[in-house]
Amino acid sequence: MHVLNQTMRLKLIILLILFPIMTIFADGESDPSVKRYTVSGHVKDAETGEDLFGASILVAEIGTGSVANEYGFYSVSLPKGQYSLSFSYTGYESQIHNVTVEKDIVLDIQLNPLSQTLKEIEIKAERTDANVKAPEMSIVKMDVKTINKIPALMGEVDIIKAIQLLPGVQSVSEGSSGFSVRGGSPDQNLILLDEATVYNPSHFLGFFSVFNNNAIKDVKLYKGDLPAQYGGRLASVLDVRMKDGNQKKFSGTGGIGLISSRLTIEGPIIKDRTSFIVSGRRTYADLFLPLSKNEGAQDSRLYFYDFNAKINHTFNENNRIYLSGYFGRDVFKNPFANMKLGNSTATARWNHLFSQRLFSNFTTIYSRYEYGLGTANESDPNSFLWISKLQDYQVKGDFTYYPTTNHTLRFGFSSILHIFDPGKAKGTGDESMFTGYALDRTHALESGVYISNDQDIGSRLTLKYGLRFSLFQNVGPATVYGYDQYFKLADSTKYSQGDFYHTYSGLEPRLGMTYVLDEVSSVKASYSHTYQYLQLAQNSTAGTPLDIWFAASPNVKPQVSDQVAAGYFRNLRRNTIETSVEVYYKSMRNAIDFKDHATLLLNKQLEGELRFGKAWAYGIELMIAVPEGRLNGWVSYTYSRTWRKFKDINDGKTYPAPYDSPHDVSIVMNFEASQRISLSANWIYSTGKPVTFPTGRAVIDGAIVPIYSDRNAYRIKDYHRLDLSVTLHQKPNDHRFKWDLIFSVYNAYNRHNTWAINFVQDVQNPYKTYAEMTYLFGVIPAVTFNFRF
Amino acid sequence: MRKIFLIIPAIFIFLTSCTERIDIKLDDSFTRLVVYGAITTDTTRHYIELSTTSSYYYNEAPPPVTGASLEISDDQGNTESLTELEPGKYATSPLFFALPGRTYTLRIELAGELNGHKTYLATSSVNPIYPIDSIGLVYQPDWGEKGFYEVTCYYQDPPTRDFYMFNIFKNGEMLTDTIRNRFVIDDGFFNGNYTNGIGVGFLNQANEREVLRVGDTITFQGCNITEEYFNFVQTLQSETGFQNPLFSGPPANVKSNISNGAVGFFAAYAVAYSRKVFQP
Repeated sequence: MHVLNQTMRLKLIILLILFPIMTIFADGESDPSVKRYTVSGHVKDAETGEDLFGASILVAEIGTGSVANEYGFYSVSLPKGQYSLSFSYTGYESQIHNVTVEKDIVLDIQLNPLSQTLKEIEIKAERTDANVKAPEMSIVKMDVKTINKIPALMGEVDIIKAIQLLPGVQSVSEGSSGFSVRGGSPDQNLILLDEATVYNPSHFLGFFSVFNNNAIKDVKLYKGDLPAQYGGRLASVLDVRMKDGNQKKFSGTGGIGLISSRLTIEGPIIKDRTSFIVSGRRTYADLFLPLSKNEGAQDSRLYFYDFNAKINHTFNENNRIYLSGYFGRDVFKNPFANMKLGNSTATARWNHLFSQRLFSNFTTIYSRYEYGLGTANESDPNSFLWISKLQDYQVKGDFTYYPTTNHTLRFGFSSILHIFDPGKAKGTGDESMFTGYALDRTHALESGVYISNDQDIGSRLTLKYGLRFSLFQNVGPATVYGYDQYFKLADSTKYSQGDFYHTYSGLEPRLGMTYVLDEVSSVKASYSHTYQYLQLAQNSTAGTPLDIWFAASPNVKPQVSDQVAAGYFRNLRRNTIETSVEVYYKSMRNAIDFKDHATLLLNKQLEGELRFGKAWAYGIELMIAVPEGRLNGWVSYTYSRTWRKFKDINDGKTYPAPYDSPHDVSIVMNFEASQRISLSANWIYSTGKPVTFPTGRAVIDGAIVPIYSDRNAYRIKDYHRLDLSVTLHQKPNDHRFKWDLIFSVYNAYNRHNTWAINFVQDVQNPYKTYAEMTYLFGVIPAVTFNFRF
Repeated sequence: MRKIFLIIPAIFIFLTSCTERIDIKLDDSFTRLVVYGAITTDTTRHYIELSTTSSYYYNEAPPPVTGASLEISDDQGNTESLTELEPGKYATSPLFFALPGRTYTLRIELAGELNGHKTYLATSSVNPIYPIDSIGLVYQPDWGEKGFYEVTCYYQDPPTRDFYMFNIFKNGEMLTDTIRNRFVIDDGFFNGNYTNGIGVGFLNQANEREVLRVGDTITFQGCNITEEYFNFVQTLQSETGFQNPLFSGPPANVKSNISNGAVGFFAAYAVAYSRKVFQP
């Protein structure tokens, strides 16, 4: 009976998804008696030749159009006739092209960025109404120009810190690169750099992210309503794309800051066909360490560097390839120990047009996160080295088919081989006392196929529906431990090489609709069902670089999420002000938490430390944004709650998740005071995060031992902070070399925001205890010099 | 070894962070019995202390539990009654010692009910004694302001899974005088090996109590403890140590081996000694 129900459900889902797709061919518009022709091409920046992802194409005569994809490609199919096509993109001058369609046409477009003076005029003109009409919700796209204006900690402009200012996104801890989207854990975010998974997006324990702004083109965050092409994470997808490299001329950008310097060089190798970009960054905070009074600090090293490179070549209008890579390292060294860690990624992509209506992209990806930690002296009997590594090999293919202007069909596949080396420790000395302790290498294959369609029904309703089928297989060799009901080790089973010893699969439907109420407002709704097969063994709120990823297995079921969201979108004052209200409810099964005092590192029986339960989250997000103009920015308010209930944690009682922070306000403002000066400010407020405090004490052998309350029954003080910056631009001139100087202040009114709370035993009177709060940053001024040539 | 990583990245944080005292209002919880004490293979008085929990800001010595009768029995039918020497402090006779391989049960009979219970029980087994060959004192000039002496230890770890606690005495005074600064370690990374100078204690030369002068005698006590007691000491140390969002998991109560919801531990373990007179 159960099996039957499953099968029936499966059939129903497939029917629901596929039936509408069938209508493409039954659609009156695609009546075979009406011969249709295709207008297609790429939309690019006229100055740099960069693809403009998301540029919109509108066919005035029929009132609909298309949107350029990640590679700037668009395609519209039209019956024979005269048409007026308008191309627009935020921050660029729109263009209107009159075309006579009587055969397939390739029309490549180069849009000019708006100059400062034109911007003034532009705000009076019609702006794009994508906020209202785009058939997607819970998505935020940020370009690097916007991110650059936001005042940053120590002047280090940072994509992830900018993302944390959006409604529904919260930092997990002061200064951390970890973020929680709609109450999810940081490991429920899929972070992609040119499609390669970045497993640890942070440098310096999270205070800076791995993304070097100079090398990044744009950033898109999906907070819910995940498109079917993405899978593997429950909460969000952060899609970061690197610049392709200037196709027109040789140019450079760089910056000298308080803690790091950057330099990026890009240019054409063959004009309009081949271009490259290389970008590097290194911090020099440790150069100040010798000034420290502490001798240990003087001998310490503490820096990170990263390196991005990309090259692309256009063979012809149907074929283009991109090769890109990232390499970054953090280095810590002190008299006791040294540590190196970092990510590496490599992506090779091939864009191929099978026809003017069928765009495809094939990608192969390699991604690695690793760390090594050892004693400073390598030859003592006590010396050891501990390494851990996670590698991905991935192939994927993504296709976009534009059968008519009313449909955009996407389908594709992806397969990732994960190789886990969770930890290996060994002695390094000649007369080492250590035997060595190694957790076995394990393998898993994570695959997916998907199909989705965006369908316009009439001029007001757009449906977006898709289905993803995901498959997760554990591959031998492996030793799998069995646990009894008390999570005690019961047995172990060995599997041989190449043995697919455990398989999970999931059908992940995604549905969305947008109904345009009038020219300036719309309602949208979405539903998504997602599976997550990998998770981070992170027991603390902010996490450390040593936290390891582990896979679903016979003992660990995949986490499953259902999210529904609905929203109202309205633009005011001729689309210059965008407002939105979104509500969501998310329910997660097989959520993972850890037993009390869990040991997560170098533990062969890690799975015995896991506890499983459910989690749910809901909230409302309000946003008012002024994307352009002299005064631009946004104000957002979020009310959200996140709860967890685990049979074996907190005596089975419901408790707030560590990222539960009901009220959250972000104000981000930028004011172009004059041609030479712009001012920026952001203010953040959020309810203090939940914590567990003692409600009693016992004195045991001289130590005051806390007796705790229910988990997360208290809250730390509310968090708020103001950051300011002034940018001084160089006098307008015709010189090729342009610069600006940014003065910024982080935490301008010196709010002492709680980072940690400790109950400390008084030195004078050991029976006395007091609460002590640690804050990380007072007022932190910084100055950064940026240049372009 | 798992702990050592705490030291490294911490430098960055402590370059910028500051602390301040704050007032936090805490609720109270019900009162529980607190038991702590250990018996070892040494022939001496062994103490068990009884007190109760209090509100977190009680700021005085814990209220002792007096008038209880305590008895320690082994699995061979021997029993030892304890005498209350000071309020809440119960002792065995000076001739008492525990034997390796035996299991000891502590039975506490309170004068009146506490938290609905009058009788409390705890059991602990004594592991074998492993002799220590020698200890060394190695100066590490780069650590801290005036350097540290690292106490290194030489002994053969047997092939069994073992858990150790180490105590250091200087001229007979116990330097590891609270459970918070006792060194505990499991043999996961060196099981069955000769320890060849494993670091088992540190003497901070900036701290007067720990300064080594010529002729000082350092006594090292190696305790072969149970896994349960090892977990107790380790979790107690992490719960009373510095908590922060990077490394600390959610706070959780330290697991006791006393019945009926009492807090604390009754430990029994084997001890071995090694001495060294300091000559730089």
